[in-house]
Parts: sequence; C-alpha cells; structure tokens
Amino acid sequence: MSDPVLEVNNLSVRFFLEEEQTLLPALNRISFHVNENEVLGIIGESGSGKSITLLSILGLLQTNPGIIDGEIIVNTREDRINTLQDIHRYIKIDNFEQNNETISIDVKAWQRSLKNNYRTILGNHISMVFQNPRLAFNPYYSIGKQINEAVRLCNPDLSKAQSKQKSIDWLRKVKMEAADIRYDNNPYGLSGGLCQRAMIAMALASEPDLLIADEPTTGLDATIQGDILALLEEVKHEEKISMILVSHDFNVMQRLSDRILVYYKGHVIEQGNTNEILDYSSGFHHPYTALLLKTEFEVNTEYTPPGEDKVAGNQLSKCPYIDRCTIVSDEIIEKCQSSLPPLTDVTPSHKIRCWKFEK
Amino acid sequence: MVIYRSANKKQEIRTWTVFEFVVLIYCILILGSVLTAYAITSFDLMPLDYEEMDFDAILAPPLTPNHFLGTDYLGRDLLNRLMLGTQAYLVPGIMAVFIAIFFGSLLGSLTIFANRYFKTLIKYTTELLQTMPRLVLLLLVIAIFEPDIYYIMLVIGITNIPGIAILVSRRIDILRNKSFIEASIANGTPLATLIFKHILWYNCRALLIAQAALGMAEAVLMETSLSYLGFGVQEPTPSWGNMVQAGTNYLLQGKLWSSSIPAIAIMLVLLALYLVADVLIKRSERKRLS
Repeated sequence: MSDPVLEVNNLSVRFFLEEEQTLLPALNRISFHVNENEVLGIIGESGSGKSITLLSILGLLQTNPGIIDGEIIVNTREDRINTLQDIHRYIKIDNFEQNNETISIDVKAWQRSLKNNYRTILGNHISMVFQNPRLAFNPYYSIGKQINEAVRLCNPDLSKAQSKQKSIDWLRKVKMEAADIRYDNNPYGLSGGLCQRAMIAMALASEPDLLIADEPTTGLDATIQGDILALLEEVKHEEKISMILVSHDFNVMQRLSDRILVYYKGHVIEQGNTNEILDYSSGFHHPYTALLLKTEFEVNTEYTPPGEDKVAGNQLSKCPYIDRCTIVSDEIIEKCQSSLPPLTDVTPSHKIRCWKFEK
Repeated sequence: MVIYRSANKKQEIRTWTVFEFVVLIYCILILGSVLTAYAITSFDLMPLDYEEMDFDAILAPPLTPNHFLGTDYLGRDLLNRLMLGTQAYLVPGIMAVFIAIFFGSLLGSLTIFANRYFKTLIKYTTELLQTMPRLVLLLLVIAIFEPDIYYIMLVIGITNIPGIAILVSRRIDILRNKSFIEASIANGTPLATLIFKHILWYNCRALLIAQAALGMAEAVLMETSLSYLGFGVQEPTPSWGNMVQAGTNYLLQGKLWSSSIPAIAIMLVLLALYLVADVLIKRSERKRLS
C-alpha cells in the first residue's frame, strides 16, 4: 500500500481569550491519516474543532497563537512535505499541557515559513469545498470566470479558449444544466444547489489529490442534499481523489465516508470504520457517540445539556466528557477526573478514548 | 406595461431602465459636448479669437447674429469663451482624479500589510485634512507658488488621497473576512492577483469609478470657486468661474446671460457627473444579484 495522502500527527491548536487572559485548547494532539481514494468523515458538535482542523490543514489559521505543535504531512506524487517542519524553531512552549502553559511565537517568521511551505500545496494537492457556497465566490464576478482562474492557475500553458472550454467541461461534470449559459452567472444569480455544484467544480478544477468538504450539504433542502451527495460519490469514484468530509449529519457520513473520527472539545474521542461507528447496537461506543447515535436514530431522547467549561487546563488533565458522562462508575471515576484517557483499541481499526474500555 | 420574455442572462444584464436610459442620453450629450468643445479648442478650429472684442455688440443678448450665446461686458463671444473654458478643467481635473484614485487605492490596499500604527496614521491624516478648510490650503499654495490651475488640481488630488485610501481600506476590511478570500487563497491564488484583481478590480471598481466622477465634479466646483474669487485661471484666459464672476456686475442691470450661461454650464456638467456616479453604483449592485 502506498503512503497516505495526508498525515496529521499530534496537532495542537490554542486560542488566546483576551477577556479571560487564558489559553483555550481548541485541538489537543489530534492524529489521523487519509489514505488514497478514501473518504474520512469528521463528526462532532459545533465548536468541537472540526473546522479548525480543516483550516490548519489548509494553512489558513491566523496566529492567535494558532497551531502550536504537531506535524501535517502532505504526500504528493513526487514529494513528502511536512508543512509544519520548522515549528520548533519559531514556537516555544513551556509547561505544555499543564495549567500554566506559556507560548512564545516569532509571529512574522512563523507566518512567512507557513506561507513558504504551502506555496506548492495549495491549489495543486489540496482544495476545499466551503460551507456557504454563495459567500465562497466573489460576488461581483461570474462563476465561470472564477473556475477559469482556478484552471489557469494549475495549467498556465492553456490558451484562453481552451481554458474556458475546460471550465465549461468542469461545470458539465458536476451536472450543471446549460453550463455555457451558467458560465456567465454571478453567484447570487444561482440557486443554492447550483452554487454548491459550481463550488465543487471550482475545487475540482485545480485537480487536487485531496478534497476537503466542510459541511457541503448544510443549508440545502433534502432532495438537493441527495443530489450533491450523489455527485460527491461519483467524484470520488471517477476522479480517484481522497476526501475529508466534515458534517454533523450521520446520514451524510453513512453514504460517503469510509472511516469516521468523532470529535469532542478538541479531542478525537472515537475513531473507526463507518460500519463500526454507526453500528448502534454493538455496545462498543464512547458515551458521546452513543448519545449522538441515539438522538439520530431514536425519537424522544432525553437531552443532557453540555457542560460549559472553557477554562484552559481543565480539559487536559481529565476526561473531556466527564461532566456529561452517563456510564461513569465508581471504579473509574478517580481516573476520569485525574487524567485524560488514551485512545484504546477495541478492534484493530476501532479506537475509543474512554477509561471504561481500557484493558 | 410589463413585458415578460425569456432571455439569455447576458442580455438581461445589459437592459437599461428608462431612468438609466435618459441619464445615459443626457450624459452622452453633456459630456460629449464638453469633449467636442475641448477638441475644437485644442486644434484651434474656432472661427473667432477668444480675446477679440466686438465693440458693436457689448453685452449683446443670446441669439444675436454672430454671437449665438451673446457677449460679455467687453464684447467677447460667450460661446467661444465657454468652449475655451473646458481647457481649464478637463486635463487638470483628470489629473487630480487620477492622482487621488491611483495613490488612494494603492495606499488603501497597502493597509492589508500595515500594522495598526500605520492605519491610525492614515486615519488621523485624513481627519487632519478634513478639518483643514481646503480653500484656505489652496490659497496658501497659490500664495507660495503662483495661481496656476495645475498646482490647484495637484493640491485637490493630494488632499483626496486619504479619503480614497480609507474607503478602499474599509472595503478591504469588510472583504478580508469573507470566505471567498479564503477560498481563493485555498485555490493557490497569488496575493497580488487577490488584491488587484479580486478586491480592487472586481469589488471596488464601481465604487472607484463613481468616486472618480464625484472627484471630477469636486475639481470643477473647486476651480470655479477659486476662479470666482480671482485666484484660479487668470483673465484674459477664460474659465467658467471667472466668466461667472465677470458677469455678476451686470446681473442687476437685468443682463443675466453673461453670468448665468457659464453657471448653467457648470450645473449641467456637475449633474451629469453625479448621475453617472449614481447609476454606476446602482448597476454594479444589480449585476451582483444577476
């Protein structure tokens, strides 16, 4: 088997809260990989760090302080690039993962280094389908021309007529009716579904190895959602690209993804193949995943309100789910309150971050 | 009456409302005649000399033979002088507008890289320039150098730079958080393309052209005021401002045309420029929603 397209190791992200003068751990030692021609689904509630992961992968995260540790390795056909290779030169951390973390960053040099590392990657190997397609297009400028721009960025030798033809072909490939007329439409002149198709066409136009889809079906009605999912499925089979799919909808996951990560408060709390995660009756689930599945597949579920703690440090020295946990027993409660559980293998591919499953 | 017909999107964008059509025709007429007058005077094609005095027809009313718009108090042909007056505005006005737009948008887009101290500097420079009465500044410059129209327009252009810069930088501040900027970065668009093509050209284009029309109107107005006060274009070279001034003494004698004809000309041109700005902004908004 060849190398995975993308490897993320121990990615940690912090944000500084100005009012409370503390660091908010947005991501804590996230590790995963995306294999060739595989769809990795990321699921979790709002604010659990899904979008932050994607922005970090794309290098779009502003420093505040942003990424502080980890590796993001992009395997291209020719090369293996670690985009965070100089991280320890520019970012110094004291008391990592303790209550009194201090981080010092040489912001300008770090941003320059990030930009340098991403120069060859963006628009060649990774591209993104954004959440709200209308906002992700320049409003004063026809969608065709914007797709054309993406085409020309990755094939600079094409003539004007050729690249226009190619962008119309991309529009046809995403099943846009009357593509040559739609070429001249501005994004606000298109319906939501058409706009999302155009967005996918633009992401594909740069012929990436990895497509990142950030909630591609949010805000669309059910039939259009189905169409977009069918389109993404087709893209996956025809173009042979890998995908990271972020959603909070299990139906979307079930249809598209091969493996699923479950996020909770900046931790990966469960990971495994789609059938293992979505098997509601198996009993091998993190209590949070179980709750999600229960709310998805059962009506009248009792809802536990989320525990609000944003204070840094607290999450790192105990189980992040402790405040809402329903399966905690007297034997393990001390462990839960004093240390973060490791990701434990249930089966070779299925891992759960819970003391209950620790052997 | 409403006519419904299916049409290609491109055609739909190009349709004009009745108001816009009237404005278009009006602007073509006014600005076209200004340009024609400019062309005729620059190639010296006028039948009469602008300094030639007709002693038989001093303060002659409009529609007298040989003098279509009448004459002024020295018997000089008003039409002739009105046409020659465009020489005082067109090139210097365009220069002022160009300076303001070019350097303003450049400075405005540079604020992307600027830290907050630089932004504060621009902000306070603008406020300083706004609090200082521009007429006084112009008089100061005229006092130091000489009453030349190019100096005046240079000052007008330079004093307009911070306003345009703030406009562009605020626009950029609004746009930089939009996800289409993120999307273009994710597509690998170079920064220069992003700033000049996506932001300045596509998103500030209508705004800047409208600002150019307004700036031109302001330049005309400023020159008129200065010439009226006697600090702008100097006699015997005609400008619309000093023509108005020359005619004011004869208003009370009931000889209105000598000052009101250049005044009406100023009004028509200003109206044309303001309408152009208005229509441009509205059409760009409509195009966005198509």
